[in-house]
Amino acid sequence: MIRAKAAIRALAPFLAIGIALIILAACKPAKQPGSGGVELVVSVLPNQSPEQLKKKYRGLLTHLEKHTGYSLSLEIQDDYESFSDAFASGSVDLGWFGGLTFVRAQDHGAEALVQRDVDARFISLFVTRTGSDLQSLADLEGQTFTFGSRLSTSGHLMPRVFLQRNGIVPEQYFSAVSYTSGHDETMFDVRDGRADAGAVNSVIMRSMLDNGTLQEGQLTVVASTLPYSNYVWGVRSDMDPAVKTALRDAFLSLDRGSPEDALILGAHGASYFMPVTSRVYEDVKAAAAETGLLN
Amino acid sequence: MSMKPLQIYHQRALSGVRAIALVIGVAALGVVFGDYSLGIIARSDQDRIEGYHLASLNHIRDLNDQLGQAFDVYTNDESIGKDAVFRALIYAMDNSIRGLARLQEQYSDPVFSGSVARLQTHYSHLRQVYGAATPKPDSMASELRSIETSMLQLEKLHLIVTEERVLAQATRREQRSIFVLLMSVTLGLTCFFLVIRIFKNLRAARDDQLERDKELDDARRRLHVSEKLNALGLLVGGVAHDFNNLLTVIIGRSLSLLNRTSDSAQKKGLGEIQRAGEQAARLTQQLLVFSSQAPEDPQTVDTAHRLEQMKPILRQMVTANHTLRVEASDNTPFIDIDPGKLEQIIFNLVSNAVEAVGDRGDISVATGQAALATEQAVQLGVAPGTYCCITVADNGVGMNRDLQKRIFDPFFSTNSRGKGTGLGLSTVHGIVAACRGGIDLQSAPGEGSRFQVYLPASGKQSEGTLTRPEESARGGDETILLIEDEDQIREMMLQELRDLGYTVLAAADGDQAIEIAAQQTGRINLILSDVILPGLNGPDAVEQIMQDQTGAAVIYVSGYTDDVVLKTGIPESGVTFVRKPFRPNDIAGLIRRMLDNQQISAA
Repeated sequence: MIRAKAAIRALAPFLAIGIALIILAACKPAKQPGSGGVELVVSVLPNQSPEQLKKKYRGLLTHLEKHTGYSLSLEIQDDYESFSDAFASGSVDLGWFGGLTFVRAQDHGAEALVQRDVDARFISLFVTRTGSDLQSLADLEGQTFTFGSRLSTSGHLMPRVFLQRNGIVPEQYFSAVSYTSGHDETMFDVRDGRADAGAVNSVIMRSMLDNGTLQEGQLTVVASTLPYSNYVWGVRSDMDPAVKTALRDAFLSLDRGSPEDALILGAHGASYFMPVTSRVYEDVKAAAAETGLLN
Repeated sequence: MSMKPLQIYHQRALSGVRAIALVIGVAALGVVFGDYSLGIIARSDQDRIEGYHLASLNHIRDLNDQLGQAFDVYTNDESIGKDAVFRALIYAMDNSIRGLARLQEQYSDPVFSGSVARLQTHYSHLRQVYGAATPKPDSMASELRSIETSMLQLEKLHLIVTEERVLAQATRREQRSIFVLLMSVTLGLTCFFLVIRIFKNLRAARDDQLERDKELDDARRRLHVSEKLNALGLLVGGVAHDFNNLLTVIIGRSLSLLNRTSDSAQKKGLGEIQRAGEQAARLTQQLLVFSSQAPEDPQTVDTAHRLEQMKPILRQMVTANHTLRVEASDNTPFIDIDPGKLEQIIFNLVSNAVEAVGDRGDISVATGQAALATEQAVQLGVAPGTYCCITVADNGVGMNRDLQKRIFDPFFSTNSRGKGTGLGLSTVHGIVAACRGGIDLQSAPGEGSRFQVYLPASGKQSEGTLTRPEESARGGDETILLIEDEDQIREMMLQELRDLGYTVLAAADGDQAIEIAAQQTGRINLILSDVILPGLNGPDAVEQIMQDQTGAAVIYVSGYTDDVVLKTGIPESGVTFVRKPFRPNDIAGLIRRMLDNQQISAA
């Protein structure tokens, strides 16, 4: 029958599309609802010794576990690279990233969850030894200079981009450029004269001054970068939204009005945590791309 | 008249197009409507959600102002926390926070629930601290900061979620336009292919119709040719009738004179006249054969001999570029058939072979004996037994199976315009079927054709009338009534019969014959009558005469060959038909035999 055949012929493409849509829908894996029994692996940027880090994060993780009902286990990698790899391999669910490690991990499915109040307006400082006659960036030409770790946002990436945007190519401008393993080392190197100048994280410098590791009057700040977003707590983007929400809420619930919470917040140099999106780190990403550090 | 096939096809195609258009239309409407209604739902949903975020952000802005003022008041007047301004601010905060909670209840998004709950908790703490008998300023400041933190977090969450929604919407819009594009392309392609298909069908239908028209034209043309040939046949028949009358006289008179003269020179001349007359008679007979008007005259025929006789005519049908082989096997059986029909069979088959080979080719005609066993006979649709087989083969274009099926149909012809009538092979088929024979056709495209005609063998082993020995003219004294409108023939016969001693009564037409017969007192032993006469025709006149002259023998003579006249007008028994031209001696012998038979039966 001509009509019936024609109808089938005309409907065939829609049928095909319908079937294709059904198959697509079927292929999308159904997600397990986030309820009790969730076990998550947490890892953090190894910018301090493992013992220090374990001590520093114990309180926070306990709070998160109490608030969410999940069980969290902390895994600490030896260096920035291993930390990046661990996240890329998918064995880490929740991580504390530096700005650069985060934008690099974005390609492996990292999504920003919360940041500290201080992270939104972060700055890096250029310091010299107090008493030297180096008083400005212009004075640093031909001197020795040290960054922090190569993968450090505040110790390397943002200071370097700041210098470049001011027309300074470090390798040409300074007589020698070196990298240290951490901000404290950078500061000690400058203080002790192993380098003429260095770039450091302002918050760490503040805390070192506060706890006496560094004495007031030992270092002079000659310049500072523009504010940028730095550290961030990130999760895998394919994480169950309910788990994400629960984790975020656990971070946000830390209240400095409560003495217990104030201790935890204090350990992390924060007054409170703020929700954040990955888009906040576009600046860092652009900087990383600019300096070739994105990959 | 029923609808033309093309119209039917057009209608079908049109209804198909309509059905397809309907389906496509409905599908397109469905897609558009579905997309539109989903869009409306999405938009209303979107409006609701945006409304929620906006309202929440409004409350947060209010709360922010209230907190700012509260901090000012607190900073300016640390000792007093219970003044009217502060109280009013706390109540205002209550409104804002209740508003946020109400919105959260309506929308119940878990993303915000924690922050809203914390806002409420901190606010109730603030109320507790403020409501205490001696409010502690530090506690109040702490609670205000906690409220501020929760509020900032909530604001940030709203901004993040709104931003994500905007991005997701952009992605959806993109996906939607891709979907619509895909659907459009699919619909377009479907339409395109359907339209192409319909056009193909229409073109095929038109070609079909053109072919049918062409076939109809061909059939009409062949019918026209056949009608012309028919008319020509009638004309030829008429001319042949007149010729036969004249030839009867020429042959009769020359024979008569030949018998009387003893001058050898005269004998020679008369003999030539007589032979020329006989030749002309044969020619006339051929004309009648070709115009299909030779009378049905079944005889026992020597097929091989007839084929030999036909050789000259067959040779004239081919050109120098054709090879014609004619082989008549000695064991060819005799058959019972009208010789004219046999000639028609061979003539038509050879004519067909000539057309098949075209300008150049080999044609062979052969006769022989064939014993058909049951299986073979069943295939041919004949009874098993001995048959005369006439084989006509050529190495021409040949025929496919389809063509082989149709080749015997009347008016079917593969010839180009005007060449054939399409009746030849159907005539063969008709003759063979009437003789209870069968035709076997072997052919393949490019490999030539072979027609084998099987005609039942006759029981007799000699030819019929034509080869009988010439009779000596024996006379008698009986009375013969001669009815003949042709004066010359009547005169000739009158003289011949009188010479033989008969009493002859001559009449020029039927009425005159009846008159003469009535006046005749004695018996009339035999009536010799022409069939076609002016006025009353032969058979009718003879019928009237026979009422008085019962038992008279009757011989009809005619140069005219119209079957209808012969069959309807002549009684079945006791009559003989003689065709013009005839030899006087032959007819005299026939008369004698009939009179003798009459006497025997009378005795």
